[in-house]
Amino acid sequence: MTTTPWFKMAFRFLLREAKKGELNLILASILLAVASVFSLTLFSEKVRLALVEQSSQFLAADRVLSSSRPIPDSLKAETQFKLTHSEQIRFSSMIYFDGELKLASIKAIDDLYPLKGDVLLADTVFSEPFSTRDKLKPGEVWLEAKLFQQLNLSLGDIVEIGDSEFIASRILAASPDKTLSVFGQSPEVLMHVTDVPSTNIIQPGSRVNYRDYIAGTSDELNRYYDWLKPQLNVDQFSWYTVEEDNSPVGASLARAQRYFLLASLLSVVLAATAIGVAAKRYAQRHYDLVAILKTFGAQSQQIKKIFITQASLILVVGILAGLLVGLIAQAGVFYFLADVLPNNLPETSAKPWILAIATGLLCGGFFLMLPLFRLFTIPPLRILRQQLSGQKLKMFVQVSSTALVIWGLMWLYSQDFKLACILFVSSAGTAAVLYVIALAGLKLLRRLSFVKGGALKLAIARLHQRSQANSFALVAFTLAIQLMLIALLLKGDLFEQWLAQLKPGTPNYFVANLAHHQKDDFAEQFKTKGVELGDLYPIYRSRLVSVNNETLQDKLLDDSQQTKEEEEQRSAIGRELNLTSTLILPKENTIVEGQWFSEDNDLPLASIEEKLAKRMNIKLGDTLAFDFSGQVYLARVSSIRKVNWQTFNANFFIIVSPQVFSNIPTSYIASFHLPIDKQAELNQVMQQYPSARIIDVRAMLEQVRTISQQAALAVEFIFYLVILAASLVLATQIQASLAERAKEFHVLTCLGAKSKVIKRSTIFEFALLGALAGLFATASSELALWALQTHVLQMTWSWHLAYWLYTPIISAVLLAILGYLSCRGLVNQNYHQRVATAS
Amino acid sequence: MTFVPANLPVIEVKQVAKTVKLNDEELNILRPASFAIYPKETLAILGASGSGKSTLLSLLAGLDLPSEGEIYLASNPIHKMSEDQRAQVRAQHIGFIFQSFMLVQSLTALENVTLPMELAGIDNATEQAKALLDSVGLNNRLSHFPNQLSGGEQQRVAIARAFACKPDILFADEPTGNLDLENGKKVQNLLFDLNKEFGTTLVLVTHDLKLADLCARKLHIHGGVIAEAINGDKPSKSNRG
Ligand SMILES: Nc1ncnc2c1ncn2[C@@H]1O[C@H](COP(=O)(O)OP(=O)(O)OP(=O)(O)O)[C@@H](O)[C@H]1O
Ligand SMILES: [Mg+2]
Repeated sequence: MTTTPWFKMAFRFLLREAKKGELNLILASILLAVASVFSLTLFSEKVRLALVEQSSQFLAADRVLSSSRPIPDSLKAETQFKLTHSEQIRFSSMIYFDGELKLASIKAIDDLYPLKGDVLLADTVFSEPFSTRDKLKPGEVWLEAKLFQQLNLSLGDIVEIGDSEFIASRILAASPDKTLSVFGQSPEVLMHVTDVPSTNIIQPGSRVNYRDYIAGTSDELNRYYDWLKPQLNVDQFSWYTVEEDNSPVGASLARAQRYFLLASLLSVVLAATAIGVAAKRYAQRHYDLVAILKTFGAQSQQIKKIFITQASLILVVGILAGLLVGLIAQAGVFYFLADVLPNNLPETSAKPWILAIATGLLCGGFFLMLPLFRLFTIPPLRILRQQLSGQKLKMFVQVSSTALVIWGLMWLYSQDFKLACILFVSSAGTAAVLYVIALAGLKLLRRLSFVKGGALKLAIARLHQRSQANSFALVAFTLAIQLMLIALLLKGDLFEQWLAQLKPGTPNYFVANLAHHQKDDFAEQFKTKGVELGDLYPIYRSRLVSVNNETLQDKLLDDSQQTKEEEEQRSAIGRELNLTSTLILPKENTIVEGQWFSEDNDLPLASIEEKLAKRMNIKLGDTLAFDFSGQVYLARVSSIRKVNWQTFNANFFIIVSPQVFSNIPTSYIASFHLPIDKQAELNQVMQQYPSARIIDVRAMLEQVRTISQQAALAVEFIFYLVILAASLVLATQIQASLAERAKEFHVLTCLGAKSKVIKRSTIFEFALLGALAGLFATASSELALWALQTHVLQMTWSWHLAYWLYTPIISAVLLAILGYLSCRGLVNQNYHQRVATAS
Repeated sequence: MTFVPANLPVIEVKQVAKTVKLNDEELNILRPASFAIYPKETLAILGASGSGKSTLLSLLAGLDLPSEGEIYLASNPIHKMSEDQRAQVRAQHIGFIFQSFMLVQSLTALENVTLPMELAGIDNATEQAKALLDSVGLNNRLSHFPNQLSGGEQQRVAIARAFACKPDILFADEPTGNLDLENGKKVQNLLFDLNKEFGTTLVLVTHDLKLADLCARKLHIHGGVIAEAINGDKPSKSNRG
């Protein structure tokens, strides 16, 4: 042999087919699989980084290491990782000025503070805050406006903290990492960390929190954590990340990420289906070629080389094109979204490239090669006997290997076992149920054929002959529509819940420390200004001293891996706890055990939050003892509540019935929504209540809103990709179905059937298939949505009744139109073309 | 017509029979038969539709294996060879023409003719293919695709392809079956002219008695039974399918 003719031959066949457009669908399928995975991972990776970046501004860093003991230099001053460390020390101290003294939370910071986010300052006590790049100098302190009011300070005054004196140089409006506590936390003071020793406040035994703020790339951060973890005593150190953030921001972020993942999975599965259908057609089109080649003496090795080379070339071209298109698509998206997205997005890792190429190779490779096995077994005798079409792979082998690849893709891609299983089971379940229905229908028909003969028998025979192809088409159509529906419905529900979280009028301020005698007056004043004050909750700062007369120390379960929330719970217990007392169950609270206080109850009862109850092993009927300003009050646990912590409401671990602290005066807290133009009025009102504290959550709300908007855009983009992938499945399947019908068209035309009749019957067939597929798809997507929303996305599920009507109608019409458009070309073909298509 | 038997047959058939199993029933397609075909002979296979003509052809060409008996093709025992080995023998010795042309749709006329030569690793394939297409009168259609050619033209491309590797034996299954009278005539003339020119052995399946008459020998198949007509004899009752 001269050169390598098989390579030349493979290449030539490929070029010819490409020119004639025969490879369009198969290339488009691979391209879409790769492009969608690529652009989605690139996009979601970037959006995720952007969102994390924004959320990290709440943390003022990417990670925070926190401890009650000084953090060793070996950790915070390490140089082997490309990270930035910023040191912080937190403690409480009295602050003196002009004979007055107030308790303040001191935050001693260094020059790098904040690593993420901005410090907000204000020019006067009530003026609009602005962000600053100015650095706090040693010898100066920045104090919250409240302190300026309470101590009657002016800018430039000298205040005393511990043994040292400081210039009160700026009014602090907000620091990014401020603990958002709606309860009476003392106002914040920023001090330079180098000034801490001179104050002599930190003595052995004093309560101090040492923090190491860390920023860097996520790879570097992960490496650092891996290095750090073994050196940490988990009882002493806490490690905070943005992603684990249990705040509303963190929750939105997590949910959006789940959707990205899910939607990209759907489009991968759809693209894989399209590749599968197109590849099957591709192999079938070459049955005759293989027979001809074998007849003219081609060795099976040659044939294998030719087709494997061809498939590989298709795969390579498809993957490269997919990467290119994906790159362009996400560049385009970023170009159009430039205004909404933060401008200095961090660089993404190699992960999108690896994932996209792996998807292309795995799913393209598998689905392209699978039908080749049959192609290779085409006997040369086919040239004389067209009905010979090689040996099918065993059904079991085909089904199980396909299932394995699809499930593997899902798992690899989501790295979430549960998610992969739900999606896989629902898709595979749909396919299996459909198959069983088709099979049963066929059996029934066959039995009927014994009853009558003649025309009916012929019709049934025809149906039977094509039943496999028809049921395969039905399954493909159903899956495409089902996945489209899931993406659509999920998007709608997701948006709805985001909007609900951010609907206009969401409280953007809290007022705390409102005295009992002030509260009605206060509400009245607000009302006259046109601002509705939310529910007022009395706050009883008390200590939980015993449960059923056992002291608490014995009850605390000691597990080392505590989350932030758990730590908060723990720190709340034994120390002071904010209780409230109300007869109305607060919003976003649900009773999981026992019963909420009834109106006519006259016993002292308590309702406890689920996790706290579990942690402290508190059961219904237990008696809790609270120490409130030196007196002990008892309450019996009558209910256990689940609390949605991800809302901007005042949330409580323990709520007691009014009988517990009956008529003891205390301070109140309430939330309200203040429109921008009412700012001045707020200041007026607040001046009359110097002891009340205003907590501004506008910045946080704004952040959540931006993040939700960006996530919504991303979700929209992904949704269209899913639609595209589903359409491709429909197109490939219609093409394949029509090719199977080509021979029949030919015969019918030869028998004198009018092309109008053929067209009409084809349209009816597709419409029927479409209606059936639409119905099955609605049912199965409803099932899948239920599973996803209740088990993966933590959303509430409800029926989507209208879809049961619309989907079958729309898909019937859609498929009829698509079928009509594609079959028009086929019916109008001339004889030679038709024979060529049929063969 | 002169009939010069050479010493060695190109095809030797010994007690060959073909049965297939169809729904647990043994179906005898060909009853045991023996005969030989010698170099440069022309042989027509005649018989009613479904009588087993194509089956016989497929066995002689090694496209299929007999259920019983032995077949030697250019001294190769093709009845006990693997598919790849038989393909090798076909590449070296055999050319084909089919009723439905069987051209590769995605290749041009020229490339279709080049194909068997490339498979066999022959060097100046394109030159030879051009010459062959010239001799079938299609030198101006080299770069046309099968669906751009008429039936007769396609069959002429198929003839050029069949002679491409200078086969010892040419098998033709109803080569004029899909063509009108005029085109059929053209194809028939080309076939016999080239056959003479290349000195090929020709085995032809046909319904066309005139075409069969051009052959030196005739095999009649009737319900799977093969019988040879004595030279010059007209087949008595070979009805057309
Ligand atoms: N593999 C097979 N399985 C089942 N039946 C077969 C098989 N091969 C051949 N037959 C049957 O054997 C008979 C002979 O077939 P063959 O194609 O050889 O006939 P033919 O003489 O070429 O007919 P025609 O003139 O119509 O081409 C037919 O009835 C055919 O259906
Ligand atoms: Mg035949």
